[in-house]
Amino acid sequence: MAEVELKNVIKSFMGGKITALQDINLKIPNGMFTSILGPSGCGKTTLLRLVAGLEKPDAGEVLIRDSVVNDVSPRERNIAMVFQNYALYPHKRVFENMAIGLRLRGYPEHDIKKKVVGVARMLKIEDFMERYPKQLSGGQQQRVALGRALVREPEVFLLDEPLSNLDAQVREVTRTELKRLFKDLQATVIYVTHDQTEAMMMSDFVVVMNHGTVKQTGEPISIYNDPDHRFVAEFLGTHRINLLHGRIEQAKFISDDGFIVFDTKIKTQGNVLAGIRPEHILLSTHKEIPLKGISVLIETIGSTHLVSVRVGENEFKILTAETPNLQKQIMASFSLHDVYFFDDQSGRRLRPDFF
Amino acid sequence: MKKILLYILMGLVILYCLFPFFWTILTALKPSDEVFSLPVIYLPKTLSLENSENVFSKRPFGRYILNSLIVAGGATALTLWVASLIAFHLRSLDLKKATRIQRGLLIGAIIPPALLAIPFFVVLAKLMLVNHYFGLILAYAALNLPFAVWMLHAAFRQLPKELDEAALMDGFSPMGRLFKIFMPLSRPTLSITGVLVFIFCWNEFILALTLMPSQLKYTVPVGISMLSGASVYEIPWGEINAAVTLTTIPVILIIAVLQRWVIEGLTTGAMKG
Repeated sequence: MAEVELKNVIKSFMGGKITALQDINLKIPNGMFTSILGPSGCGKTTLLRLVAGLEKPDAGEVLIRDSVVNDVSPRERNIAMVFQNYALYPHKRVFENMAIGLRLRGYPEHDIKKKVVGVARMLKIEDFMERYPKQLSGGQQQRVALGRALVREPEVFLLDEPLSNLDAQVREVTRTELKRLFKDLQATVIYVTHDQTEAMMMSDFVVVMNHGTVKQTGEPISIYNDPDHRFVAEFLGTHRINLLHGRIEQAKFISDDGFIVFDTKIKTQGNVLAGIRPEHILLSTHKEIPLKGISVLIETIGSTHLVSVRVGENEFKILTAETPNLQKQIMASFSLHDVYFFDDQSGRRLRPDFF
Repeated sequence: MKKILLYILMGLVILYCLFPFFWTILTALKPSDEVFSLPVIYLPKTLSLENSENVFSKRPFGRYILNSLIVAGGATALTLWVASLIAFHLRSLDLKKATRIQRGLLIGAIIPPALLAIPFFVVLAKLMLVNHYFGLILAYAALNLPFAVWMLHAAFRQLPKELDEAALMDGFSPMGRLFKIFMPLSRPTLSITGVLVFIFCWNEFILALTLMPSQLKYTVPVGISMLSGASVYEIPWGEINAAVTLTTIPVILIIAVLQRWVIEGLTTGAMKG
């Protein structure tokens, strides 16, 4: 197991026309399941491919276990990758697909057999060893791809959206299995995904990326509860955060339409965005900041409902277990300490102790 | 109704295409007096192998077939091997650059082979390769490379990039990737390209005549053209047709063998997903 580090890494494509990564500094901790999370085109896959050695950085260094690997070829890096489309060899049987990496590294035949069978049993694919990949379902192919990586016992596992080609049910089961598997292995895993639910549920450590930069790193729950950037606040969370345009004058927040006014501890002046998560607004008046509006839309999600409430010119989404009626007056409230303020221009988080 | 019409039209097309071949076979099987009889006898009254026997007894025709097999087989193998190497490298370049190189290669393919006969002869004479199988093989490979590279490059590009990268990580060497991953997965294209190159070499006349002029090195087309009767005014049509029929058989066999792979390739493509 090994730590992976990127130092001042820059990468662009098309002769500099498209910047994929701009000055990335990142430490991926040893033995942890790390997710690289971001929307498509944010550079997360490029980052993974740099670690894999499939791309070379324009500048900066990639380190695995404290040694620079910029000029080390992929096959000498002791890493294994699971591709989004699995990339199994269509002309080789499952056993051979899994064994080939060991064979090319000169393992003796009985060792290969033992390892492959062991991993196959763990992944419950031992009955398919003589089949060709195209004779397997998507979920089974995914396991084979995973098995191919596992038999190699690499220092670092790289997973590029391995669940995105599976249908919803299989994906959920596999997600749980993957988490358990890698927890038992205590392997260093870099997992690229655009699905924040996956990242939240599976990882020990999350790296949120956007536009080729790292926006925030940390444990999933701390990122969720304490976003550093408007983008992070918006991207994480099953239900999108409510963002309210307004300004702060003498530590008082005033929304653009003037309907919502409350005291804050922010000393900055100027235009800001206030963010409140749907689950932090209560359909009662228990919290200190009141919200009065009309319910305009109710979306039911099993046991809970997402209620859209119109307040002045803004619409708030509120997550609640109660079933309110449509077109009714709603009394809701939230507390100041659940509100995040972001700079309107840069999107950076404004904190009470900002200066 | 529409279907019946379609079948009739298809039948006519097939008849039109196959008639010359049919006529060749019939003529080959006619005794020599029936070949020239007027009015024309379409179906021979008696079948005879006289013409075929003559082809082998009067001339070393077996040797010609062997020559053709060596040259066409060798040229096909060499072309596919070199084209695979080139296509493999082209694939690793970005598409724009690769296409530019490919276009450059195509310019070479525009020149008619007959025009190249003399330059080839001069070069091969300097290399002491005139009348050698290898000389003609080199010439044929050179002529077919642009086409083969084009085909294989397209086939290699179609393979998902991730497959190559997975192979890279599994520890395959570059040649390992080409021979163990790319080529087996491009078998349909390799077969089609191989068949077409083989047929080209099998039928080629001018270069074979120029570059291997000694009697024992004649290839089949050259050998057939040299068949003659007792006098210059007598053309031995029966024997010529017998020779043509006999020399078509290896080509048909090769296509029949490779067709299995071509069709296999077509169906795997259809089954995917």
